[in-house]
Amino acid sequence: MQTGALPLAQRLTRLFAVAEKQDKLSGITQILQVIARSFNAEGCILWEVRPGREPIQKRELFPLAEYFEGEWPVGGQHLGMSSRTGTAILEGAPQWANAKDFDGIKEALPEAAGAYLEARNVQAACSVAFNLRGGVDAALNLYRSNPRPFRKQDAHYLSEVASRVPYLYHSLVDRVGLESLNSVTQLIRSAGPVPDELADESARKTFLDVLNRIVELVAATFDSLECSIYLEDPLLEPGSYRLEATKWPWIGHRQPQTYRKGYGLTGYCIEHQIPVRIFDLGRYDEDLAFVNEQYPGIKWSDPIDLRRCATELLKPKGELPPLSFMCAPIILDSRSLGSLRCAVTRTGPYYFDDRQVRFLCMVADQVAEWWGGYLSIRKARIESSRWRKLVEGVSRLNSLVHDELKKREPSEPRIFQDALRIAAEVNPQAEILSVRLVDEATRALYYAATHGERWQQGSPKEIAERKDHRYPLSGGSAGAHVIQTKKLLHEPDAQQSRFKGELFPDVRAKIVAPVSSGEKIFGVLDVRATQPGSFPPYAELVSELLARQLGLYHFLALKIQELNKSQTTLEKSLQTQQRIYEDFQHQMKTPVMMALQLAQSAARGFRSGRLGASDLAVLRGVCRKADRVSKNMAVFAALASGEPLKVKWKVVRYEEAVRSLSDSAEDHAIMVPPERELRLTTDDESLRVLQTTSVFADHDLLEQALSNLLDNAGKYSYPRTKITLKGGLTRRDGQTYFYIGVVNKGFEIGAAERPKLVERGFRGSKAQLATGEGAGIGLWIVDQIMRAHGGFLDIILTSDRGLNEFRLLFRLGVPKDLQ
Amino acid sequence: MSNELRLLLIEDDHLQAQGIQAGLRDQLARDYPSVAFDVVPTESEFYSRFEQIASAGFAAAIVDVMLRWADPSPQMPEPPTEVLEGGFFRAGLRCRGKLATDPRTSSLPVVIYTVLEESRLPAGIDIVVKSTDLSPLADRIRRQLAQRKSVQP
Repeated sequence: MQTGALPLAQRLTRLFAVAEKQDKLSGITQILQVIARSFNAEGCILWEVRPGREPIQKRELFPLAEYFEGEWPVGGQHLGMSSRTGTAILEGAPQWANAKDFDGIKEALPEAAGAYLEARNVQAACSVAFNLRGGVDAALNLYRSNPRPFRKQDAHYLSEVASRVPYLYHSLVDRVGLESLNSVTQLIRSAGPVPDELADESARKTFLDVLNRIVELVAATFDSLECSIYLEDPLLEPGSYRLEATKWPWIGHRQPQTYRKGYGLTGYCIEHQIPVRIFDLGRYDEDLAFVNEQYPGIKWSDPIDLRRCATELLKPKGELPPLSFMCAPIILDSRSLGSLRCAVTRTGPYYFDDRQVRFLCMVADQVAEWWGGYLSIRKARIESSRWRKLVEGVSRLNSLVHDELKKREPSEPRIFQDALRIAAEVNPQAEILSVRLVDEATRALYYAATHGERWQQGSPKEIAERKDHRYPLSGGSAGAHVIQTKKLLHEPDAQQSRFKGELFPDVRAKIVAPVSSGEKIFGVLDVRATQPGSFPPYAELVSELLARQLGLYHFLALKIQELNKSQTTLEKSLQTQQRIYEDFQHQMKTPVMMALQLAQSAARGFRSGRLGASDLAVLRGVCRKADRVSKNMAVFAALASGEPLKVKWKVVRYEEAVRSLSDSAEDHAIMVPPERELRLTTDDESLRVLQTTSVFADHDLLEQALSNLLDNAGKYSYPRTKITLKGGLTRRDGQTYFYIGVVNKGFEIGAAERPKLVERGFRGSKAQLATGEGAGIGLWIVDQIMRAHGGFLDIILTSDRGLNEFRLLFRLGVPKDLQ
Repeated sequence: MSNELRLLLIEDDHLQAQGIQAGLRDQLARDYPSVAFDVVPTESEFYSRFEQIASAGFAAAIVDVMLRWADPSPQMPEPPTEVLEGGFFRAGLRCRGKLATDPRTSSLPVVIYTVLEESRLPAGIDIVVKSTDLSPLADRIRRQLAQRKSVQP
């Protein structure tokens, strides 16, 4: 030990010279040594008030660092604020004690410290307070052996020296921190990027080697007993922060291998992306309120008795030093990639401060850059590969769609299945996939296609029930929500879903994308995962793109179906048209030919005197048929070309009507094969209403309509039955009509068939078997004729007696055209 | 052997059937003083009477194309699928097909007698278009009969 007091300037010069040479945080001890020696003291302790929420008077003093000649046996002893050191801080005035009153100081120290001081004959102490971190929060104490008591001058000089200590300490921390940061940077730079294929053993070894060297470097810098790096690999195990490198001193105690966000101090740091610093984990429970004030909601849940472990390792003769902890988040682009943490220092400084935390954060940033760079490249590579897969898949799908859409009836389920297979290939996390479409009739979503093994689990009944499940659009399901909003829904945590109706209770993440085309929405594409972790960011885009494709395909398929339907209708219409013309040809040629034959025959008969009345009747019947067919053709042609029927109104008189009906009945009767024994009769009396009512009609059109009804009656009446023509007044919808009706007994007319009878080209299933002519336009023409008259064709359903009745209904009075 | 010429006439229009019978008798009178007709008015009757038709020994068949399946009645026979699908438009051709495929009637000359144009009917069948003049039909029957005779042993 040096003797003699040095001038202040010399003391400071020496202090700065030594401080500047320190390249480790433990260099603080060297600084304290220089201070002690320059005051001829045995030892020097830098005390600091423990951080806390209590008033300073109620806290304790802990040594940040200390120096003593020989071995200081104590370590982390603490002092109460009522001690002389505490008084120096609280009163802001130096305190010293010599010989007589030193016992008081000694008693305030732990027993081991007292014994040490006694052995060294230390009987004087001096304490000066100073501002270490922003307030009078620290004290520099000197301990001197007899016979050199401290005087006022010593206290004055010590105050001067103490006022430089914050600068010296902080600059030491900064220098060491920067040096450490530089070393990490160099290390990472020399290591190069993280190897591409970490799955490969040697690449992983290289990677872990770098991380371990970083851990060693950091641990050495802060002289921490523990230092660890936890990193997340979002692809392998998203959401899980795995231990990648560590310096773990607690032999026999297993270190947590993974952390999740929010779990423990490390998980808190990862979740909140803020550094966490705990002054003393040994006092965690006592400081809980203060810790929670700084880090709301934090919970230390590591299953380790750190105090016991530290005692085993440090073997202190007195108290344990503060078991300090700091953890820095490893963040890149606002994403938590992991954490870098340190715990418990072996030498002074015994606990971490904000400066050290700041440097730890800077090192964590370096790691973030390095690991994040790898993740970005890998993500880009994977995404590129996924997109390539998607593009290839969509191209394949397009080709399939192209082939399908060429078919008359495209198979949409095939297209949907292929799309789901592609979605599963591109997004390996997607396990349960489906396409649901809206059933417009029931306003519910139904499964149009499903993909994934989970759909096939369970009994056949369970599988069928699952696939038959329906989701009403008003039912509050995720699908219904997407149909309503027309926007993609991504639930990274589907366990907390607000939607109802999930078939798979273990689904953890869900994407529901609208299957739409333009404004029209057809259904949804569902992609679900049951494993922990969210979908990769591109999963949304992939789902959206595929859903859009499906929307387009569905739209095209619908259009093709519509087109095919129109084509079928058109073909049917063309076929009907062809048959109508063929039938016209048949119906026209036959009576004309027969009329000629009969005319020739009649002429021969007339010449030979064998011409009978029946021959002439047949000739007249045939001519009427030719006339009817010819008029039907004319009406058909006019209506087909969009020309409305022109009605030449004439009053319908009773006599004319009776004659006309009678002639018609007679002419049609002759055309019916005699073996069918049909009787045609007219109820002349029923027409007498014409004598008292005014009915107008186009006589030719009326005759044509009636002729068509009679022709049908002749064709479709059962043998040995009666066909009756009659007339009269009837009421329909509150209005009185004059009608002429044809009543016959033939094939039954049911309610379902009635409206179809007036469709162009329609022929009843039985009726078409009972005739060798006709194309289903007779009643259509009658209906058109009656509409042109402002009346209608009334078809009365088959009565109990099996009678059918077709009525031509005419309005009474003078038509508007004539008014 | 009787000199009577027996012809099968499948025609659903009774007036036309009468005209054809009268006309052909006139036309064929010189070669065949006695011509007998068996008139079948519906397709269903053709099938139901086919056994009799096959064994009747007709010299030729005259077949209309557009034929009704059956006369209307509450007990109308059920039609086979092809009739339901094809309707009456080509009923005569179905009858011709039946005659051509049954070994007992496959050599029977069949003349399709129709108002339809030949172009609307399948090629390779013997068609005479209906007209007021029955001589083309008579000529065709004569020629058919002559051909049949020449190939018979």
